[in-house]
Amino acid sequence: MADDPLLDAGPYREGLRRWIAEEGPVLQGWSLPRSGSMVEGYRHDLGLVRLLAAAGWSRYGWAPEAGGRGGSAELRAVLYDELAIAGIRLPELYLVLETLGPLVQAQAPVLAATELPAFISGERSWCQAFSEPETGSDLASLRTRLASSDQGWRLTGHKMWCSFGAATEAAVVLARTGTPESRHRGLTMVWVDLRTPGCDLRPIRAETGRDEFAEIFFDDVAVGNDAIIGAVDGGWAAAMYLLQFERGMYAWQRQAYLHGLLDVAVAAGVDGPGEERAVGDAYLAVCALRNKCRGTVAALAAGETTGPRTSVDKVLLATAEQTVFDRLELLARDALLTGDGQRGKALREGWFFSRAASIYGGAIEVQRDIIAQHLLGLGAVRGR
Amino acid sequence: MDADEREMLVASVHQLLTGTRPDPLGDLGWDELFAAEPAVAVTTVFEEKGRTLATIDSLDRVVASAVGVAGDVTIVHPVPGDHRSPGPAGVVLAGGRRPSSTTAWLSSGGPVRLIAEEAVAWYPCQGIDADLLGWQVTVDEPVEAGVPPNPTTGPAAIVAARRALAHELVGVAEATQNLALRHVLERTQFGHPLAALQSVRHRLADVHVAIEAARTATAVAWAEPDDLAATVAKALAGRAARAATAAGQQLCGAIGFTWDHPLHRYVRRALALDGLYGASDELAGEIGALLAERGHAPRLGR
Repeated sequence: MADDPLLDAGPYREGLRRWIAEEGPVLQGWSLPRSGSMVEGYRHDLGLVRLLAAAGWSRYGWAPEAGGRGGSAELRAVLYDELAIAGIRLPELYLVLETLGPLVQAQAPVLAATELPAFISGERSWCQAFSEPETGSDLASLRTRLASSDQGWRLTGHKMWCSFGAATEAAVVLARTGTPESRHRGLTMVWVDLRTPGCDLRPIRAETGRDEFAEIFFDDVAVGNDAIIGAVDGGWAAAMYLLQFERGMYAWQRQAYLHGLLDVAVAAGVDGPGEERAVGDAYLAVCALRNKCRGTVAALAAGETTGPRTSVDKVLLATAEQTVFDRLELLARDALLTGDGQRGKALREGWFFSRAASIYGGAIEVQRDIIAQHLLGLGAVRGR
Repeated sequence: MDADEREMLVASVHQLLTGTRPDPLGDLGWDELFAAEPAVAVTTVFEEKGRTLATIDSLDRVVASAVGVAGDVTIVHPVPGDHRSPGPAGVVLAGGRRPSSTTAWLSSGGPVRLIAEEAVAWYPCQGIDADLLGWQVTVDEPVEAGVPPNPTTGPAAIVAARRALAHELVGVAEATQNLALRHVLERTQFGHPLAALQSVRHRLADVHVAIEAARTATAVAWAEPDDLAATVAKALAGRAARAATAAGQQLCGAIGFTWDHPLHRYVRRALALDGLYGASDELAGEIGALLAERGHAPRLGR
């Protein structure tokens, strides 16, 4: 494996481009735009996920112990960039894989060996179960309980806003192992097979019209010791580790996707100075995101801790998503308002979803608070 | 150059630019440094120039080098807000070479022309930033002087100028942000510093994000062969400087509004620099037109 030339980004990119060109007609089945049922779309995309895993391209950048072919995580960044350049819609599975995979690979070796290969190849999908009805930005307030039992653990509680939950078979859950008052100190991260008795998943329809999220009720669900990710009571550290990757590779996938939308918009024709300025504004916002999160991806791939700096990435991500769709609104207002074909529907779904970009993964107000306190030295907010 | 050497260079540049010596760039050894490590030279000098509001002729030197002219040639920069005009007007910056025997005339995308002195009319210009602006220049009937530079040097000069100005705008933005930060930490009302208020903190956080976006864009402008990267850097840096100065004007309150307070000098400098070689909103239009021409959205930086 050490002799594999594709472990270098240059040859990997060249090889991937050649493969994409050869597979051209087959890959058209996953091209932009696309709209409609989340579950149907997700399952349709599993075809591409399986294809990329079987051909090996999506295994690069993951450790051999996790079913990967080795190499730097930056190879995965190349994969997402090149798929978007080819006009292919990135499977939503990869967004979750990039958020949850690195944590499991780093802190749960048994789980990584048994479950991560299946996730990478699309056989078994996971979702992230952190938020609760009463717990959004204030993650340390969560109440879902993980109690020890004679055969391991028992999970009871209610998780919400699990992205793509209705299409998945497992969940990475942040739960409380400490006292109710223990805040961030008494938390543990655990992997749960959603087919286990006691798990009840219900879709949540978003204003996009899609079941973007799910809520999951856990009623005394049996969980084994092997399912613990990181240390018992070390869940907060595990969550902070994971959040870095959400700002890194997740953001990178989004910039790839947003660039792809601009490719389509520009190819459709740009008419006059107002539209030119709209394209320029959108492009500048996406460039800003791309530049910043590329650095974060590189830092994470090198094993560095990025800390509060990634709050900047998060603000740039929300800004880029909303700027692009606001400008696309200007460039394709007729499709947005009255178009009932794929183009109009996809544009509306994307426009509505972009409004959530400043809410999920830590609201933009919280990011600004972090920047102010930890990057600008403005001290703590009074009252806290 | 390693991090320590870099830090020492920044300190030397800062000292020279805030001192009283008549030729700071000469004392720095600009010619040698620029020849050996252009990215280090431009990054360091222009960012400090922005931070200190210095008025040295560094932009003229960068442009002259890109065009390939030397000696006593005066550089005329595209008029703020109208960089696409091929003439008849431009500006010479203060601190630059005074009107002399030959002027090098830049226009966006077009060839650089060398114009003889007798064809050029000069008017002192103060405008929004009297320290930065020197003269407005117009030409009625151009009289060519000497051998014109290679036609490809026009676009190359625009790229070099935009990249350098991006660094300077980042410097202005950071210095302005520091003024605002100091003010909100010191000023108290209702028993608390302004810095405790969330709306104040969030405004400054957004300025920080804009500066970071500009900073990473300037790095890409050096690494990326596509000229578009320099235009992106200047646009983002112009926006960062405008965001910082606008935040400063709001958050520094009444005292910030006075002539004696340094803030308005940064506001003037930000507006003037943003206007040179394409203001950020104009550049957005130029970028959009370029993307339309290319038929796709280029991925800058790997």
